[in-house]
Parts: sequence; structure tokens; C-alpha cells
Amino acid sequence: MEIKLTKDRKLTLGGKRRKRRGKLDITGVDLVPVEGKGCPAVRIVEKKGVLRLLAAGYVPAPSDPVPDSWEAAAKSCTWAFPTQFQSPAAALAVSSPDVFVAQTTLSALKSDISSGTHNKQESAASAGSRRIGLRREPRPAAQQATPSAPSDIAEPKPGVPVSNGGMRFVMRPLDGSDGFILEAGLPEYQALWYSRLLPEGRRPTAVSIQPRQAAIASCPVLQKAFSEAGGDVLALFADTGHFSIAGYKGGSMVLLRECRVGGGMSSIAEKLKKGLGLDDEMLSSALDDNLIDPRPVLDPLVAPIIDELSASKDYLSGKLGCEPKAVIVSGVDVGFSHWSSFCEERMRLKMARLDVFEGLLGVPPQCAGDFLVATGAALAVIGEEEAS
Amino acid sequence: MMTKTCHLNLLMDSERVSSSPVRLRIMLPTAAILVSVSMAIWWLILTGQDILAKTQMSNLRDDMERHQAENAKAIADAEMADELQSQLEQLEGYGESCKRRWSETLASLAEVMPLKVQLTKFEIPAPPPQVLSFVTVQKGKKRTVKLWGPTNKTESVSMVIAGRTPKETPVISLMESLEGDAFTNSIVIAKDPRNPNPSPKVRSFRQDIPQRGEGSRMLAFEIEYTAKERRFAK
Amino acid sequence: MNLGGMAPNSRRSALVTMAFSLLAAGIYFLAVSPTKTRLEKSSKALSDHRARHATVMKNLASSGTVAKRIEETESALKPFRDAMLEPLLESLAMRAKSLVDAMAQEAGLADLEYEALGQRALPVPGRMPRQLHSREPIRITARGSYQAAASFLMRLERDMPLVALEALSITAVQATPETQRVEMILEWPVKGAVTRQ
Repeated sequence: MEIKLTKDRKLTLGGKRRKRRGKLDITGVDLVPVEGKGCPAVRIVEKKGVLRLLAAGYVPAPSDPVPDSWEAAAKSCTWAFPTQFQSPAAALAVSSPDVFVAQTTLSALKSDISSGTHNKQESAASAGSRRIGLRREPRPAAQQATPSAPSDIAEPKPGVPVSNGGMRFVMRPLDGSDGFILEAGLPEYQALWYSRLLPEGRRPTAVSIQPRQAAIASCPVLQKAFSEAGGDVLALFADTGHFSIAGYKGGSMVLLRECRVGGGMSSIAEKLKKGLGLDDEMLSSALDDNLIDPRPVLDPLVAPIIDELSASKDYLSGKLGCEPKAVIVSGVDVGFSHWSSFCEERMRLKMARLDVFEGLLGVPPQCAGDFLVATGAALAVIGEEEAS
Repeated sequence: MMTKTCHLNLLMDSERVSSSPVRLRIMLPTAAILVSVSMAIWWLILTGQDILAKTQMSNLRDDMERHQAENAKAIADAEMADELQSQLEQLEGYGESCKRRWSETLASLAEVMPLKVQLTKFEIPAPPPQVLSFVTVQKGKKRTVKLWGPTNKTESVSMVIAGRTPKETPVISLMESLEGDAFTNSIVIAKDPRNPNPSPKVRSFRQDIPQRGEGSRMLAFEIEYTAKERRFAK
Repeated sequence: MNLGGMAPNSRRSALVTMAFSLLAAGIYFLAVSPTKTRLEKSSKALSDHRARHATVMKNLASSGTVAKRIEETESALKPFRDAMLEPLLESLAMRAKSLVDAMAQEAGLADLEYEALGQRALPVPGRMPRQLHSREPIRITARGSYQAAASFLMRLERDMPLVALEALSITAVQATPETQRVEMILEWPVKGAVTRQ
């Protein structure tokens, strides 16, 4: 609120967001539950630049599944957290077939909006040629929710979500990325469902709804290898079903894309087991203890991924003038040494394993890999608060 | 310290809610409604008090009107009582001043008068005229203020005895007699030479022209005594 | 504050808050404050009335006592009123003569002459009455002996205790040694000035 004191002077009261004072206490939650355990959650407290891990564990999943229609979303569902996770704020990392993260340009985005093809599933494929990164799957048309103001849609502001045509989306520029933006979106009814999951008046309440793919991209920033490389790194996120590659220049993310080859770690593991004739138990000891040489079988599986990394490295150095000095990998729990040596041979880059809880004071739990997304979600909010 | 992260937040600001059980969007309207209701109740209470005060005032006024005549009479009676009391006080003061018994003094004087003294005059002089006004200066102007009565409640009285005698001794004897008990209630004896008003005060003691049949030497004397003052108060 | 940008709940909350705040302010300034002022005046007036009523009741309660006091005072004033000198044929000297002449002659005084002198004020009491009293000096000159004068005074003091001797002069007359010139001023109480209407 502005009050005009004199002709030249005015006083601004309030504002969109108050300056945070004191500590930031946030719980990051991955809404994709781990089978038999629940949704991974971490509670991190940031005070005067020091990050402390207060709790890490599993929260029972919400009683209702993520809705896939307006009718299903109309039924409200509330979620209660255990005491150790009852921080004031919570960052939710969401995933569904309707959630997308895509790297594109602002002009392409505006063009899509103005032509009315932004939210139409038929144009998803045709628009894909101008998008680099994660492919957005076409989805059925969603019902209209409360649309945002036309000016907001025509000129979307960085970090400000807008609703249009039944979808809610948000964009952020990728600094130093030669005009690219990162766009994320999900159906409006799902956004409303997630926003009502944590009710008012009870701890925690939601301060962030992020796609999982974007949340994990915040994890590498605390790694030692990240700071040693001066923030010029590539990150490889290996998931069961796919790989993602993120590029960082000077600490800021400039690239995020899905790696279409490889099929995910579970696919590679299956092929390894088949190729080496080993079961799960033997596979990890065979690879990690160097009992056998897996390279004849492993290299063809890893090579495409390393090639993708190499292509991203070339993109960073060629287009953005950034020479990555390290590769940070997460999700490669088995045979990491082989991956690392392969990467050094082909790319002349050191590969470092991403320690989920590196940079956080406190006792990390076991199965740290389960908490990658939750930690990333929390760090994304903390990082944005610090920057503001 | 953390570097900048790319936070893609799909939660709108309007959907952010407070985790505090104290919700301002509930508390503020509730407080505003409570304040309004309190103001209304306050107003009703004040109005009630005002009406009550006015009713009581009206009742008192009616009661006073009913008793107006009686009250006027009571006030008049009280004033009359005060008036009569004041008159009585003044007259009683006068009454006190009338209690002097000069007849006794005269009779006693006759008894103590020596044979050789011929009384030529016995006098109780009249008091001086009363001065019942005085001049005062107020704001540079002279003002004459009149009094309703003397401020002093006593009047001084004196007694003068004049006579003739062939010698001093009878006079001295007379004077000694006048100092006796018979005259204690009527005259004041004050012989201290430092006293500005001594009593007795010999006004004159001189040789007198002898008359036919008398001896060659006669002395005339006049002695003034201060008498007990007249008191106009009980 | 941008109401348009708020969530519906928050907007409703803000509007309700503003509306009731305005209402509260309106009630205070338009109703409560004037009523408070009126009540203060009423209370003051009521306390004045109560004081006056209490005085009235007190007056009425004491009326019996006052009547008794009047009776007693009148009774105490009677001797003074009886002794007051009233003019006879518009002359106070005539009245005095009528009162004391026989007594004086009986005592042996002769050639009595009476003269009324100017009133002498009496000291005023603590509370100024409406009707003041003063004393009327009457000069009586006569011829008679010392004993006659003393006898007259004695009878006067006995029979008329409220007549005071103001001044006395018994002077020997050379021509008649047995008879002196007697001059006395006697005071009678009289009604004096009226101090107020």
C-alpha cells in the first residue's frame, strides 16, 4: 500500500512478501510414497545461513489419491503430519502424469499463449520442437478454473503462477541461459487439491507446490563438489524410469532436460542382471567389489547417457560459455565407480556422488536416496527466501 | 550459504494460509463485530443510565414541588429563628450592661464620706459620642464606611468625686475607704505609676476660697476613678 | 491493500472487518459520545437535585425544632420587648417621664425635666439581624438631695432592671446646700435601624 506524503515522497507499507526475520523452518515432502514406508519428508531449519536437519522420515500418504478430474478434486482431503514434521511451512514436491516441466523461451511461451495453443494438448507435440528439455505429455482438456487476469497471462511474471484454460503454470528465467525459461504446470484442479491438502490453522501449511523434477534440481547446490567447481557443474539425476540432466553456470541452473535414452536405472539394472547373469544381491557386490569386469555389459548401457551428458556439456560451453568442471550424480547406487571412470575417460570430468544431506548439520537417516526430492523441495524454498 | 535456486512454485499467494491457529481473517472480523456489539451495548447502558438519572431527577423535582410550601415555611421559620436569636443576643448584651448597681455605690460612698469632707460633685461622665464610620482608601479613592454599631463590646466608665476639705487627711481617708471592699465591684484601683491610666487620678488639689463661716484654709479636690467598664456581652 | 487480488475468504474478511469497524466508530461518535456527554450533565443535575432535596428534607425535619426555638427565643425576648421605650405622643421623653416621674418624685426629686438625646447604637451581634436594637438616652434633670438621687436610683434598679444609668452628675448648689442639682442620663432599649429589607 502506498501513501503519498508529499509531491515527491511516498511511503510504502506492507508489500507482497514481508522480509523474513529469524529462522526459516520448513518441511520438504515428496508426495510419491516409498512402498511400505510412506512419503519421504525432511525438516530443515535455516538460521543465519546455517542449515540444520531437524528430522527425516516418512509421513503416511494422504488418504485419497491425487485426483484426475474436477469431480474427484471436489472431495476435500486433509493431511496430518507427525509432530516432528509440524513446522510452520511445508514444500510439496508433486508428481503425476499431468505435471510437466519444460525448458523453452519466453517468446515461444508468449506466442503459444497469444495463439491460444499454450494449454491445448494437440499443440503439445508441435510445440515440442521449440522446446528443449522435458517433453510434456498431452492430457485430456481440463475444466476451466478461475482464470488469471488477461494481462498476467499475456505477460507472465517470473515465479508468479497463473491460471489459464484449466491449467496452472509458472515460469522462471534461467539466468545466463541465453533467453531460456523453465516452465512448470499442472491441471488447475490438482493445484487446488494440493493447496487444500494442508488445512489452515494447523502445522504445517503449504508454501510451495513444485514438480519433483524441479525440486531435485535444487539438491546439488550444497555439494562440496558444486562449490569446488565454482558452480559450473553438470548434474545427472537417475530415477527408476528416466534420467534428468541439469546444467549450472556460476551456481545458477541454466539447463534442465530429460534424458530420453537409457530408460532409467531399473532398466539398466535389469539389463545388467540379464547380461551378467546375476541377481540383485550379487549384482551390487559384483559391481562394487570389482569381482568381475562389468564393462562389456555396462558400457553400452552407460555410454548413451554419458553421450547425453557430453552433449549438454558441449551446449553449456558452446552456447553459454560455461565449462563444467564436475558431474554430480544422484541415484546411481550400484557400480558408481564404473560410471565415474567412464565419465572421466569420455568427458575428462570428475564424477561426484550426490550426498543428499551434505551441507546440513544433524544426523542423516539411512536410505538417504529416498529423501532426495523432499530435500530438494525444502532447499528450493530456502534458497528463494535467502535470495529475496 | 546457499546459491540461488530455481523455485518453480505452483502455489498462488492467495492460496497460502497461516499455520497459526489464530487466523487473522477470522479474528479481525470477530474482533470488529465484538467491538461493534460492545459499542452498542455501551450505548444502551449509557442511555439507560441517562433515562434513570432523568427519572430520578423528575421524581425529586416532583417531591420538592410537593413540599415547596412547607419548605418555604421551614426556611422562613429558620430565618426568623436566626433573626430572633441575633436580636436576643444583642439585647442580652445590653441587659448585661444594665447590671451595674450605682445606687449601692452611692449609698456606700455616703457611708464612708468623712465629716470634714464636703462633697461638691459626684459625677459619672457620659461616654463620648460614638464614631460609627471610618474612611478607607480603595484603589486610590477615599471611601467612607458606615458601621451598624460599635465594634467594641465594652464602654469605659469613670467616676469623679469633687469636694472641699480643710485639710488633706480626710481626703486621704476617703480615698482609702474607696479602696475598700464596698467599692470593689464598682471602681478599679490601679496605682502603678507606669500605668498610663492610674486610678485614682487626682485631677486637682488646690486651695479654695473659704466661704462665710468657714476657716481661713479650705482645700478643693477633684479625684477621678476608673470605674468597672460596661460590658455589652454575656 | 488490493481487495481485488485477495482470496474470496480474505476479501470477505477484510470487508466485514472494515464494515464493522466503521459501524463501531459510527456508533461511538454518533451515539456513545453524545450520550456520555448527556449523561454527565444529567448526573451533575441529579446530584444538584439530590443536594437540594436533602436540604428540603432536612428543613422539614427540623421544622419542629425550629418552632420550639422560636418559642423559646420569643419568651426570652419578652422582657426586653416589654422594657422597650415606645413614643408617647411621638415623644420618647414623654414616655420616659410617664414611666419614672412618679418614682422620682417619691424619692424626693423635684423640678424634673426630661430630654431625649440621640440614640446610641449597641454592639452588633455575630450574625447581623435584620432588626437592630439600640439604646435611647433620656436626660433627666432635677433638684434633690444626694440621698434622694440614691433612693431614686435604687428604686429604678429594682423596678426597671433594663433601664441603665449612662451618666450621673450630683452637683452642690451654693445657694441651697441641702438641695443639689441632679442630672442623670438613663438608657432605655429601643428598636434601632433595619439592616436589610
